[in-house]
Order: sequence, then structure tokens, then C-alpha cells
Amino acid sequence: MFKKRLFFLLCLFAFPAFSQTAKYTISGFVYEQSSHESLPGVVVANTRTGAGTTTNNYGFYSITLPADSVEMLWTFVGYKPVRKKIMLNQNMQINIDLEGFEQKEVVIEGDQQEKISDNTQMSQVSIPIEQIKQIPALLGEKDVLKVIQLMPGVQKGSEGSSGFYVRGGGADQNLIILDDATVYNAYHLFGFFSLFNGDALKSVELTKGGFPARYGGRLSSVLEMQMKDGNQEKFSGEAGIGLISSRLTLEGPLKKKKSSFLVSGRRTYIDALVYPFLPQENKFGYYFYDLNAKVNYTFNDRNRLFLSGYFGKDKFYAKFNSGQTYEDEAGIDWGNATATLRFNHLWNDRLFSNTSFIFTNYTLGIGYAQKSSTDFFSLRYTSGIRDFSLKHDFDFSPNPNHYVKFGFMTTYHRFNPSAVVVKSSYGPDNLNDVNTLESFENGIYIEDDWRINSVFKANFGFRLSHFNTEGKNYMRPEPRAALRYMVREDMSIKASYAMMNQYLHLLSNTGIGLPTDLWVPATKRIGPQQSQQVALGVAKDLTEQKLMISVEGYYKWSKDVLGYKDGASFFLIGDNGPGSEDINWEDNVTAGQAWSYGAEFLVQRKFGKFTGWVGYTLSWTQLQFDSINFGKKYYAKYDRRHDISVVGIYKINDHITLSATWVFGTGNAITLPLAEYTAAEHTPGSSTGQQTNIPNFYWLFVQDFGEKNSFRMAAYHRMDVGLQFHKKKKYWDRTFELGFYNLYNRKNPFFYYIGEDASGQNRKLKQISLFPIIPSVSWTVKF
Amino acid sequence: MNKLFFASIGFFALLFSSCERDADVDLPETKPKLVLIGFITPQDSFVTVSLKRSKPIFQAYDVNTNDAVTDATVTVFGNNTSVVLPFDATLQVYRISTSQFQILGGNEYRVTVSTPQGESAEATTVVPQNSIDASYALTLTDTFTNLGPGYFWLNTTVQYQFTDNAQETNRYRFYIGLVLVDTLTFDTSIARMTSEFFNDNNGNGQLLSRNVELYWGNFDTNLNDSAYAYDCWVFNVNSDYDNYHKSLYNYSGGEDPFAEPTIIYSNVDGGLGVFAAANGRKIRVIR
Repeated sequence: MFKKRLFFLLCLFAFPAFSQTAKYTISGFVYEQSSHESLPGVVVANTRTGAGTTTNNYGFYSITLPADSVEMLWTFVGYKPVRKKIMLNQNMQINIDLEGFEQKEVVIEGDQQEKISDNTQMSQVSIPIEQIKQIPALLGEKDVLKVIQLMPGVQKGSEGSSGFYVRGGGADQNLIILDDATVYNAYHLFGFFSLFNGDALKSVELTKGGFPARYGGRLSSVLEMQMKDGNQEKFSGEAGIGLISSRLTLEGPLKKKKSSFLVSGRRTYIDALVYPFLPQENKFGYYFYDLNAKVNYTFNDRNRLFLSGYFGKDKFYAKFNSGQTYEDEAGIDWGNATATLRFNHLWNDRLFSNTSFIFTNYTLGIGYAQKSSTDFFSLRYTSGIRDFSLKHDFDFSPNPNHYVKFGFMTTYHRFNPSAVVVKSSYGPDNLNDVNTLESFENGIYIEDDWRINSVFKANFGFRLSHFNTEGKNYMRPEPRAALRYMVREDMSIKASYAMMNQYLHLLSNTGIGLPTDLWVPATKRIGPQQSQQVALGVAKDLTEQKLMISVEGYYKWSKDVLGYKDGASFFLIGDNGPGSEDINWEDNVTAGQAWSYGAEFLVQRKFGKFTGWVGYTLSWTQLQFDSINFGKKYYAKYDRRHDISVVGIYKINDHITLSATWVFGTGNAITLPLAEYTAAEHTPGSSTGQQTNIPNFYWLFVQDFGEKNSFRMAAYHRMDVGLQFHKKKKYWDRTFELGFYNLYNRKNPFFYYIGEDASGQNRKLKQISLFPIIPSVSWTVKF
Repeated sequence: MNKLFFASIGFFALLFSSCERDADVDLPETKPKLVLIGFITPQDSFVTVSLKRSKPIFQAYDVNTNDAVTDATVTVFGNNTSVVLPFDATLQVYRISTSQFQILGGNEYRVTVSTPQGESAEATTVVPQNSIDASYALTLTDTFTNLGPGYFWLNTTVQYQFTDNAQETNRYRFYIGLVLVDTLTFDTSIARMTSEFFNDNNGNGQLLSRNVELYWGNFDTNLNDSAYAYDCWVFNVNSDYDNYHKSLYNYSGGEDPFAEPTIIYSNVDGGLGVFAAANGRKIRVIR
């Protein structure tokens, strides 16, 4: 029976090749004209039949069509479409250069627009980098993750934070990848800024559900970012000065159309400005920097090599010199480093492969040192995670109706939950307590984008994931399916199902993305998290209005998600931190279930003088843990009933761009103390026998919180505006930006606490707000 | 350049000067609730119930949370009968001798309270069927160390074992109280030392062995002289007792705005607190 099925499946791919007229393949790469930068996500379509494909992450496409006279169309948001008539009577390689719109409005015909209704993939958003750069931001620091937070189904955490929560999932359930490398802590400045420098990025894509089989390892989302390859045509660059940081990007050819490089750096400088004004005996400061670099070399039309890397660090430091006797130093620093070596190989017109060797490292260090002329003492706590991965992916286009992707990935994880090194002149206190955990994570996958007929298209996939830890093996199948039905030429109904497993857990005391959050692997006792998600949606293109509309409903059920037991705290787990032998972190967490469901509405306009989107999310997220809230279900902190975001970018003319965002979200669900009372512990024995004069109670003063997370903080809303002035100079383009964060000075609550009124007699609920209206200016040149 | 510097300083001052104000939210309307606390065991000499009131945080009520409610009617139902608990003005609790109202393993008991002000509350609990059998045994050693003026140390180590009750999932509590004797009056009192909760981990009918080591850091010479014995209890406790005490031990208030507060377990309808039961055995170890 099995053999028959296998035979049938093989025929499914092979049969069209033999049964129909001769077919030929058009393949090639699509580049940006001015820089010869490869473009991912370009739609390549036969205008007559509608058969089409998109370029992969490396700009490669392959489409096999019956021999005929065909008209092919290459389209991509922000670029002039290219249309070519081809007499298809042999396999041909056609490389295309797309020309950017720049500031001018270009008339686009209906069939040249990107169509949301045509794509099988649902629950996915891509945001053009240029659009990200035009959206106003806190202190003028353009932030990819904060723009992602403006999409429906994505919720921000606390005020100003770059952390995000997708469809009710935790912040740890988002897979953030930069050039194939996982980024474990994506935040600078304690979460207020993300570490992704928009100047170095080529594409940003977020998948919230209906995950293709090539993705795995997280439950809630995949945020995939590609770095630019570097301008192959000419030396160019971009520099910017903002209020808290400056940045510089340089790129250019090393050998024209063969090899290019890109280097992009950013650093804050408030520490350097403040340092001279601090008293000599007390010095403190904070800075972060990051550096992106990439080089590539094209050997020939079939082989290309890329080497890219990211290195970033945050550091807060303080030095105190107390009375000339002792000098104290304390500090916290954290940083990511990634490196990716990729090799593209075109086996033939239909088969493309990429092999990646990936390294990623995240470290956190907390240090304290005291020294005098005679003695010294130093303590350093470090934790981190380091990965080495091998990834091999194939893109195969066997016939017009199938586009198959398959491959594997294997990762060696090395966790360092805690390492404490103490050095002291006092003698026997020296300590070098380092503990590490190792594990292997593997996955193989296959997926097929199958054009069943003119109205049905499907993407079926299967991923088999495996995790080896502490001698235990977890093997989990992960079926994936997505279906699209074209109701009309411009409207489709989509459905998807995805099962996901997550083998890494993030221990977080606050849930706000602090660098002290700690990644740990699934263990013998604490198994992997698993989710299943179904989604159903309608996508509609209004071509005349250049609008894309989508409405999606989803239901996600997760099991074995982790929560802290009541009263447990990261900072209380052992003297040496989690993983120490004092108290194992596994004793302080509990596995439970999560349910998340809702509907998302998005109207988006990606091109034209006026672009932007309106997003609305209606959602519910509930959690249940046996050891939390006495096993009863409760709403998650970031359960958000209503979430609205409005983004508008208007090019007034070639010189001025006006942009604005407005966001609204239901307040976070929190647990608020309502009353105080005297509780008692049972202290037995006191009323037995002869001790009759002592009640058997040990009194304790406590608070009554009502139901867990039953109180809602005030709704969050805010408006930001930005005004960009562009000017073309002889050798460069200059942009000056004036922005206002929180334009109408809304006092959004960051957290609540119980204070007193002016009389000091009555208690009041007080709120702390972080950011009032904050103006910003920045200046950017592009050359 | 000077302008840029002062502008930067100004912005950072603005950025990090957080704004504090009254929260603009509708707070839940909360009234004082009756706080009922009662632990019943077949080993006790009294059935004792404490009754106090809670004090709302955001609404002004003249309540002292330490004051007992003295004018309530407290009735305990069980053993196919009921009894009204009289108020003991000395101890400020409602109680009755178990010679007048017995507590039996396996039975369900209900307590109802009502006050002249119209408040009422009730709770129900079931006493675990089985106590701890005679296999319960322990070895206890303690070391008193005088480390110098004002610095003393008591280190107590206990190894204990007992047979798990078969055919049921059990929750247990081990508790040590230090019996202190007034050397002048010979009155005794009990100082709470330590307590731990655990379950049988599906070890039905097995002999459970555990170790406890505890320290008393400021244990001074006078206390050492008056410390007469250790009362070591193992209780088979019901879920109300277990949930309530664990939530009490894990309790963290709302002081840390980032930490999740702990909700204290309650099985009292119309009020707060707990009415819970245990069934245990004590070994007294004379020092």
C-alpha cells in the first residue's frame, strides 16, 4: 500500500512532464538596477495564465512553462515593473534589473501590482525598508521591531519596549533571524531599541501563522531579516546623526558585478558627552554600538558566496572612589554576535541550493570589583548561549504547478546558564563555578507550493524536528498546510494549519525583555512547548485604489508552555543563578496550556503618494497552569481585546514627506491588590494537651488580589508624527527629519503602585508614565 | 556644538524623568469582607475559628484588620449535627472543646458565620480519612554553638520516615515546633521552627524518608536553656490546607511592579481565609 502511494506521489511530480507538450524553464536572478543588489520576494508571472512564482531570499526564480509565446512580468513594491515577451522554445536564463521609483509617482497597471489575494501564504506581512525609514520613531531612532508592533496580531509589551507578542504567544516564542542566524536578545537599552539597523537591511518579513515547513523552533512567529549584499555598481553610503546615536553605512564593489561589501555601524554617545561633567570620584555611563558587515563574491552564474556578520554590545558602567581608600566598579554588559557563511549553487535551471554555516552567540555579564592599594576583590557573573549550525536548503521547480523546497538544519547549542568567577586577595574565597548544558536541535523539511488548478493553490509541508538533551531525544512531526481558493480574480479565501515545537525556553522574571532573561533548553523533566494553529481568512485586492485588504481569524492552542510558579523568581533561584545546584530552575517553573484566538483586519497601501495601513485586532489569550492560580484559567498579561494601529505616509512633493502613526490598545491585564487582611498559618500543637492558652495561629499580614489578572490598566494610545525634508545635492541626497513622539502627551501607564493622597491618610493608585511628548531631530545623507 | 550638547542633556533629562500621577482608571468597588480561618484536626483539643475583617485599600472603611469580630454567630455542621461555637474573649477566637464536638477522619464539616450587620460567609472541608500510622519515626540531633557575644547558632537535623497511605494521592506536611518552658512559671509555649509540604509522588503505600536541616541564627543562651523539646508533626492534609499554606509561603505582595503577585487561596464563600483540615501524628523529642 505504501509503495503504491509513493509511486502515486512521484507520478504527481513527474507526470506533467511526460503527458503534456514540451516545457521549458525560465530562471534567473532579479536585481535592483542601481546597486545590482539581489531582490527577494519579486513576483514573476505569466500574464496570460497567471502562473507565477517569487524570487527566493537570494533573488533567484525559476518557472517552468509550456512551450509557447509568453509574456512575463516581474513586479516588486517600490520598483517599476518589467514586462517581456518571450518565445519560449528552450530553457533560458533571464536576469532582470528593476528600477526603483525614487520620489516620483509611477502609474502602475492593474496586473502589475503585488496581489495579496494571489499568494497561498497567509498571516504574513512584509514591510519595505524604505517605509520603515519614513515612520516616526522614539528619539528619531528608526526601529524595525517597533514598526512590526504596528501590524495586526502583533502587540507591544510595555511602553517604549521593542519586545513583541504575536497572537497571544510569549516574547520568547518569536524566532528572530538575521541572515539565517538566530538572534537571542534583539534589544538595546534594556528593550527600548532593537538592535537591527535599518540601513543595513534589505528585507523584513514576519510570519504569524500558517508557517511553511522550512521554519521551525518557535511557536508564535518568524521574523526573518536579510542584510543588504552591498552595492555592486558603485561606492555609496549613508550617514545619520540623531539625538542619541549616529550611524554610518558604506558599501561598494570590490570587483564590479563580482564582489561587493557592506559595513554599517551605529553608536550612542551620551556617555561620552556627559563623562567630562561627572565628578572625578563618581563616573557612570551607558552606551551601545552595533556593527553589520557583509561581503559576497560571484564566481559565475551558478555559484555565489556570502559572508555576513553582526556584532553589537550594550554596556552600563559605574565607578566610585570612596575616600581615597577603595575604588569600586560595577557594570552590566550584554551583546550578540552572529556570523553566516552562505554558498549559493545553481545545480540546473530548476534546482537551486544554499548552504549556510551559522554561528551565533549571546552573552550577559554582571561584574563588581573593589580594590585598594593592598587588597582586591572581583566577582563576575556571566550567562549566555552559543550556537553552531549547518543549514542546507533546496528550491526545486519541477513543473509549472509545483515549487518544492526541502532541506535540513542542525544546530549545536551550548548554554551557559551561569558562571561565577570570584577573585580575591583575601585568599580562599576564589571561585570558578562554571556550568554548561549542551544540546542538539535538528530539523528536516519538505514543502510544496502546489498550483492545483486556476483557483486552488496549496502549500503542503512536513517538518520532522528532533532535539537531544541530557541523553533524552525528542522527535516531533510537524505537519503544515495552507490552501488558497480564488473566489474572483481579486479575491481569495485562505486557510492554514501549522503544528510547531519549541525546544528552548526563556526564563524571564519580568517579561519585558531585559538582558538578564535566560535561555535554557528542554530537559528530561521540562519538555518542549508545542502549539497548533488554524487560521481562516479572506484576501481582497482593490487594484484601482491600490489597496490590499485581509481579514483573518485564528485559533491557537499551546501546551507545555512555561510559567513561573507562584512566588518563584529568577533572582531567588540559587545563589549562583538558575542552573546552580542550590535550587534548580526546573523546580521553579511549571508547564501549562495557552489558548489564543481572535480576528485581524488589515488594509494596506504599499505604493503611491499616500501609503500606510490600518490594522485592527480583536483577541483573547488565556493561560492555565496547575501550579499557578490554583489551576484556574486566567487572562495573560498581554491579552488585548482591542488593538488598533493606523500608519500614514504622505509624500507631499519630492522634497517633503509627512508621516504619522496612531496606536490604541486595551490595557494590560494585571493583578491589583484590593484589600488587606490578617491571614494565619496553622501552627499545630498549641491547642492540644496542656497548651490550651495559645491559639494555633501564626498571623501574617497579606493582601487580597481578587482574581488573577482581573484588573485592566488604562488603555494605551499615542500619536507620533514625522516630517522629512529631502534635498538633492550634487553628490548626495540629504534628509532632515523633525519628529514628535507622543504628540498629544498622553500619560500612558508604565506600571501602577499604591501611594497616598496629599493628606497621607488615604491610599491611591498611582501610575508611572515613561515618555511625555518627545521631539526629535535627525539628519541623514545618502551618497 | 554647545547647543547640541545642551539639547542632548535636556532630552535625556526629559526621557528619564518619569511622570507620576494618580491612575485614571475605575477601581473596583470593594467592601470589607469577613476573614474566616479555621484548621481542624482529629488530634486537636478544640475546634477553633478566627473571624476578622479585611480592609479595602482604595475605599475608606474604619476597619482594624487585627480586631476579631466578636458578635458573630459561628456554627459548625458535621457528624449529622451542628454546634454553635462560643466566642473566647481571652483568645479572641470562637472555639469549642472536641469533647463536645468531635472531628473525625473522612467526615465533611461546614462552617457558617453571620453577623448582626448582615454579613455572612461559609466554607466546607473534608478531613483526610487516614492519619499517620505508627511507622512514623525520626532521629533528631541539634547543636548549639556559641560564636561569641551576641552571636549564637542552633543547627537541627531531622531524619524522619513514615508509611504513605495506600490507594490515594496524599499531600503531607511536616512541621517542627520548639517547646519552650518558662523556667520560673513552668508555662510552656511553642516557637515555630520549620515546615515543609510534599506529596507522595505516587508512592502508594511506600515508606517515605526525608531529611530536614534547619538553622536558628540568633538563638541565644536564654532560649537554649528554656528549649525543652521538639514537637514533630506529620500531617496528612487536604487540598484546602495544602493550597492555602503553599500560597501563604509563596506570598509576595504588590511591591515589585514587575513581579507577579501571589494570590492567597481561599475556600470561603462570601469572604476570605480558609477552613481546612489535616489528620496527623506527633512525636515529641525531649532535648
